[in-house]
Amino acid sequence: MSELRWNPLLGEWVATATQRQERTFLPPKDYCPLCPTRPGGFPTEVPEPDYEIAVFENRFPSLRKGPENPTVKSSDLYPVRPSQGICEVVLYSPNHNSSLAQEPVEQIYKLVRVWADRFRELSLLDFVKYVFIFENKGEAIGVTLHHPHGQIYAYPFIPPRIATELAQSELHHKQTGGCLICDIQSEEQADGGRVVAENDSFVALLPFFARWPYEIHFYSRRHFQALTDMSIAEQRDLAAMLKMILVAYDKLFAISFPYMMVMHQRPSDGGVYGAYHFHIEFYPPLRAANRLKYLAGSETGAGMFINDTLPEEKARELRQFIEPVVWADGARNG
Amino acid sequence: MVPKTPTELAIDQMNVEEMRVRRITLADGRYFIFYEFLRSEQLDSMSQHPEGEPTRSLTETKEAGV
Repeated sequence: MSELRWNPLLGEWVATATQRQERTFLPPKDYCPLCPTRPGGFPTEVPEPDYEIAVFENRFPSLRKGPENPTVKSSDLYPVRPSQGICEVVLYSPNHNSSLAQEPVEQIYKLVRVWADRFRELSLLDFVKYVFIFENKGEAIGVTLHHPHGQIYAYPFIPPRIATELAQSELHHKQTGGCLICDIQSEEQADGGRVVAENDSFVALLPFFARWPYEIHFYSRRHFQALTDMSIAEQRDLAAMLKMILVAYDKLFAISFPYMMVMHQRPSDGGVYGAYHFHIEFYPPLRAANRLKYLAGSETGAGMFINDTLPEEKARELRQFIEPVVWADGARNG
Repeated sequence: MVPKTPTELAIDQMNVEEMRVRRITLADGRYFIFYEFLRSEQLDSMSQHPEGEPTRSLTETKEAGV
């Protein structure tokens, strides 16, 4: 059973997707459904013996192209609609034991191109209003499969966090004539204390207002709204920045660092969003090597985050682990 | 003349691989897309032996989900 139910208190949609209770949960490595199907081996979700990068529709989606009718009646107070949309899985590598941080920068560059292609294609669907690219990494985040992968949700509406950012960006533009993220970036670079890494096209920093101890944002230096607006040089610089930051994360506590990575781009509803600015945000759940930052009463019940750390200090910690990225052809980046 | 950035130099030195998209339709109607990246010499080789198929269908349903 799957449907979208309106929350009139918050003015937002909630997806019910009871079939997801049945999804595969932390299978043994030999039965990973995201590995290629090797000759004579366990038949996985991937119907071929190898791949570079693969994308497929999630078998247990919370949104689907042809959704079933809702199981409950809609009312004026409680509107209900079919959970139309698309949920994709993106396989980063055929190597089960890898992670995005461990992949060569060349493979990450390929992934950036795949993300751009998925954004372009999904944005063309008339029922899709927002394409959301993200990765949940690590059991601390609730990941059920360890194989390196991310996900893409194509929503039939603009999700609330994005709507807030769009409204704030538009308001800032009306008040100042400028771009909010360009201005945040200028202020952060003028201060410098929270900047973790830079290259020709991107700046990575813990923002002044970080909610998570190791929250990092990537801001593009040039003002644009989506992956599809990027040049080849910017796509390569994004790959290099991902490599630099993810390696630093892993080195910080000498573990495979858990995080949520989310990409914020313009909506796909046909509107004009010139005031908005492409960026990526990382929310790692750790506040120390073996301590989690929980979303408790204030964060969940009131929406106010309490950060027990200073972003200036955490940026300094992470900067120690930043190293230039060297491409296979010898080029250095960062 | 403005010196080239490391990224621009790297692009000069490399052939940007062509991205090929190959789609499969599973028995339950879901799509499965393979992204393949081919260098120019691989593309030349494929044009001489064009047995590669751009799309095909499978009739299997695989286990799993994320």
